[in-house]
Amino acid sequence: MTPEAPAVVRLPSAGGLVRLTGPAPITTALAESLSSLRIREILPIIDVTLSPDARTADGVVNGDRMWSVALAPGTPVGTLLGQIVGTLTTLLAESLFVHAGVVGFDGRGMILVGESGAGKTSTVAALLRRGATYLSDEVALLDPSAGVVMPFAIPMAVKPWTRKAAGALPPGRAVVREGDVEFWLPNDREMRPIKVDTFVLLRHAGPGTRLSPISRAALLLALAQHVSSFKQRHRLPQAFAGFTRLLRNARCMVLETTRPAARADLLATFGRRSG
Amino acid sequence: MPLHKALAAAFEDEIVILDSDHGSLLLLDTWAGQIWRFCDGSTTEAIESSVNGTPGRVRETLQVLMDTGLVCQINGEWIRSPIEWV
Repeated sequence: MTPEAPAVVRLPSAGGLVRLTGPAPITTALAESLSSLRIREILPIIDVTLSPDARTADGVVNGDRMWSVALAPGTPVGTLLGQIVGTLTTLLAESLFVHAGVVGFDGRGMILVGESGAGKTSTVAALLRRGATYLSDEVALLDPSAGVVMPFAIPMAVKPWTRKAAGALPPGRAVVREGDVEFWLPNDREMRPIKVDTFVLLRHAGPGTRLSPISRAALLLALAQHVSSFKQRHRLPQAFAGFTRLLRNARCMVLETTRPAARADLLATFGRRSG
Repeated sequence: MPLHKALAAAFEDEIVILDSDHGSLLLLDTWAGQIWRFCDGSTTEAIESSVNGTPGRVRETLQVLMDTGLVCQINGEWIRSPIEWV
């Protein structure tokens, strides 16, 4: 591979930039993956530079190197997408975030919180096939003062077991394929911020499927355990106040099951009920 | 040690407190929250007579609250650490 001219990805509503420099197949795929992203606050420029052989990459913000990664052959886009998303969430000053899937039902946001492997992606995919709109597979970007969740539309990382669990994927297109992972951007995307209506904590459980209320206090504690603005020490008071505000006006549920189809059926029924 | 910077949020009958000093969240259930609210200068005996529970359970809860820095005892009176409600 040879060095290429920088591919510049502009985050349209942000006023910020992600500048990508490196071999074109990778930077092009990354640019396309990030092209639907909207962030409403002004963020500094993130410079991502790949080595000519695409073995390593650096992330620099305001002249400071934030990270350096070694890239495994065959999976650079997934790795770099994760790094860039992580950097963006670190740079947030106003919005809050939590690692979660987000879908919309009639303009009301459902936020699906769970550990890695809890089935967020398969649940999001299955819900989209049941009429929900796509906001994110990875990050719930939240504005507590307005009580809304904003789209964070990067492609879903669909792994073989995700596809098996979710069944057919919702209408959309593959932005890139790396190994057995397909980065899938659904067509039916929510383009505007929508009201936060429900938080759902996804838990694995034994046989049976159960969707039940959880106290707001317990859910706040659960959110603090996840990758979220709570993990940024300097934002702790802001995160506490913001998530408290959001939870006061949201329905809080816990969903226990190991069966993705049953999970999606229950959530789709629940999500269509007005809050 | 009393907490220096604490935020608290009340949800229905539960209270969550952010201990900014240690970066941790503390959940007070209905019972613990009730005891904590009585820590306004009351003595142990006064708290015991104000809540439904065995004296042993009240003292045990007060000890837990003190261990987490939410309350302290001064001259026999229980005092809550300063809290800012959100």
